[in-house]
Amino acid sequence: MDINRNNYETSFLLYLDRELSPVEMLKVEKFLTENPDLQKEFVLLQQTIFLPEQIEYDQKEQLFHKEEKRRIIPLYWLRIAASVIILLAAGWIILTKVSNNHQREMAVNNRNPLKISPAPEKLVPVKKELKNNTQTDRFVKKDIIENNEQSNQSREKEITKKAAQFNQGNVKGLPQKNNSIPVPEESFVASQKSNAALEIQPDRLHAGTDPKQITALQGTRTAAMVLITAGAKDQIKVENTDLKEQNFQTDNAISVVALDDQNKSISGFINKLTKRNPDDDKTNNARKVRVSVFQISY
Amino acid sequence: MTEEDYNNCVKLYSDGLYRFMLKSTRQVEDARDLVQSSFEKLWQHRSEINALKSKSYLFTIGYHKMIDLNRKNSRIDFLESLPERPETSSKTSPRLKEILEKALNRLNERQRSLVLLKDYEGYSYEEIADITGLNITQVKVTLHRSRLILKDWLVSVENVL
Repeated sequence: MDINRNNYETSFLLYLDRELSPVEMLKVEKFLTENPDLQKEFVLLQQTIFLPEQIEYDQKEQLFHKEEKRRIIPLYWLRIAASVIILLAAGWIILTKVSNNHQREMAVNNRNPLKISPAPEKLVPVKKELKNNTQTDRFVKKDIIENNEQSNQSREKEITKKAAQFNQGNVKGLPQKNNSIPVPEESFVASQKSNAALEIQPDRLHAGTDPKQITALQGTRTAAMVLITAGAKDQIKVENTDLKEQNFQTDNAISVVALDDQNKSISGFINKLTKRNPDDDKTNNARKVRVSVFQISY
Repeated sequence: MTEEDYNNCVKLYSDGLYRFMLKSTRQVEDARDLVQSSFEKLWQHRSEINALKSKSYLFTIGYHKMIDLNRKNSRIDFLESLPERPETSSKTSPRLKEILEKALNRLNERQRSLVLLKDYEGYSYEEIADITGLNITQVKVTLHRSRLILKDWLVSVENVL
């Protein structure tokens, strides 16, 4: 399109609005140079163009968006609670089973020999010839270990005293001077009601007073002490006693343990603890038997 | 258009859109509301919009919202009542910018919007036509008429001064 004085205004506006091609722009510029009287009008039109202002939108932060993503809710507390519940449940189950097993073991152990843990050995010399050739004279004076001499002395005194009472028939329920009870010379039966005192239980020396028996006590809260008889050949024999069931157990104690000599492990263990003292063989006819005292735990 | 594209639009175009709205409506609160609603609509339709055309889409939304607002408020069209000569109440010589601001207020909404889109945002006639929904000839005629009105205003002020 050619520019002339009739259409220059449109060309000027198109030029100012940057709607012309470079060639057309050159034509406009050429026309302006050829028509300087129209330059003032061109300038006026040029002044109608607004220069951009710097205006800032002050609430831009409100426009930003964040897509709502699926949040994984950390169920920490729920997990912890579930773990605690599981642990408690598992603990309860285990505890219940252990308790049941323990009760079963108790029930079984009440019928079978309990664990026997050897108490400190006490050597009890048994002399073949005693002063009084009575049954009570055969009760043993305990020769306790040297370290416990004082306590042994008091215990010895007590034994002696009870033996004397027994000898005099003062012991309740025991026939006076029960010489009729055939007790082998080398045998003895003793028991200890508690760890503190050794007691003689003549009523346990029932008919026959089989030296091969194991005597136990009733109603003792602590474990009964069992002394094992020694035979003429110093052979230790431990057999089941014919104790009545009432002798076996009370509410809070187990008094009797019947050891089976067929139980080799126990017998062997006992044999080890009941070795003869070799020094005793050198002294007269006295026989010393190592008496093992066992503490029954349950 | 992704979330990132949208937020980039906020960074790049919110100031320009607000300026355009403020100059067009001459009301700060209206301009803010229009910007807010324009970007909200952009966000809602982001999945349908090409990121390269997000600016024109944004201005299109803003422009039409402004037209709707003006219709709702029954704004006065200044063009028809524009006097032949500018008022000469002020004896002091204002700056050219201030004169132009006053001259801009003499334009009607369409003229003002088109001038602002052309001068502030640099859109072509074709782009303005897309935004405003007018054809290119209408845009061209409207803009040329607006320039002549502004020129006459400037000439009248110069004569007074």
